[in-house]
Amino acid sequence: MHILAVLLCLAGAFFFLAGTAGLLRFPDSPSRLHALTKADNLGLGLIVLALVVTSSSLAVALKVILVWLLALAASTSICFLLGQSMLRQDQRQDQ
Amino acid sequence: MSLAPIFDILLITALLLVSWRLLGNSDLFQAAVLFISFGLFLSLAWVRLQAPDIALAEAAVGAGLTGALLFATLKIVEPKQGRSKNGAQPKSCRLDRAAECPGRMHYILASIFVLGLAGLLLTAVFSLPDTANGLAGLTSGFLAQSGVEHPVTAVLLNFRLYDTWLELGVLLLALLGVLGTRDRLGPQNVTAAQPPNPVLSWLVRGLAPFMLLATVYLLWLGDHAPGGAFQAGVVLAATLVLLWLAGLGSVVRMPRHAWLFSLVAGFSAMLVLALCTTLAPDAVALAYPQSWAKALILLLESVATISIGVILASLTVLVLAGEGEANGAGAAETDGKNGM
Repeated sequence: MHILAVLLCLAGAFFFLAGTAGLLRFPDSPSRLHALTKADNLGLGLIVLALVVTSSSLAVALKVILVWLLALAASTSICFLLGQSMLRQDQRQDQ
Repeated sequence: MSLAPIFDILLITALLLVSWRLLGNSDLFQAAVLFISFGLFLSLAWVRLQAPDIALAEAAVGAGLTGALLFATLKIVEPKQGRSKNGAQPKSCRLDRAAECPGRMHYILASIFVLGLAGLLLTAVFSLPDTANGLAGLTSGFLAQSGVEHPVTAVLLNFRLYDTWLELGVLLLALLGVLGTRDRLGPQNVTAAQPPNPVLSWLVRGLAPFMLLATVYLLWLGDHAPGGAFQAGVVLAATLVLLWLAGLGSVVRMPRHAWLFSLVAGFSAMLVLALCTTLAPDAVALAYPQSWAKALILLLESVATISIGVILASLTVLVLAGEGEANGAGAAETDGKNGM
């Protein structure tokens, strides 16, 4: 169980690292957003899985999963909102 | 070997680096973003110093709410900044040449003041006693009589209630100041700069119940663990601001009487308590009987949470809406000029 949790944590950390690299290295805002949200959702999900595996009770596990679901909903919506405002800005500049 | 010292050194380095970049940055937007990350690092530092109460408050107020207020202010300031950039670039000026640097006396005066302050702070740090527990021993000694189990809540809501009382007064004054500059009597019918977005409404509809739950939980937690009125109030304020941004009911749709009542509830509850305790025979103001302590603290904290939440939300809504109004006024001005 412990080894599984460590592996999951490492995999999650890898996705966070990849997302951060994308945020720093990608050329334009939409692809940066893409790197950030996708990688972070997956990274957070893997770390949450690791916490679920090592959690002592069902209540704790459910709470951690709830945190992940809320973060998923928030980051997806915020990604959409940022993308939309970027689109609006581009349209304004074109005019 | 433990990893804690390495983490601490990294944290201190990050704090110094971010504050240096923050102060040396000429781009105000970047400076505001850096200020928010500075607040987050600072709250981590508070966690490392084992002060989770301050860490919570720092993350919520210092990074979250102040960040939002800074961005809102930036939106009003930025158009002017853009105009000046098109004209002359601000040159770096040398303090030893009066002609190049018209405002140099200000810089010199300010640096003398800052150096003096730094000197005073350094002497204060070096004159601290080597072993000092401060008032920690006194607090834990009287904790059993305070009505709560968490020392920070005991200090804020019992031993030094007047501190909390006056803080609520400061918040009220800040709101009055903003209302004065906005020439308004309240946040009623203030609209967001952007029309409500369906995705945002969906998200806020989903999040709001959890945030209200977190408010009540933080309030209740203050009894025996880090939490309490200020943290709960900030979460409530964030909920109200999000509801407003999503075009759902918030402080802007509150009936005026209910709004006014929520504003002054926290401050006046403590005022009433102060009056009652003064009128009682041989009692000190704001010192309430031990048997009532728990119920009174819970009541005061609940009322204070509502006040803090509504005051901070109104403040943020007014400042955030200021950008829309300023842009609207600017647009009307240019329209008028075009007409002429």
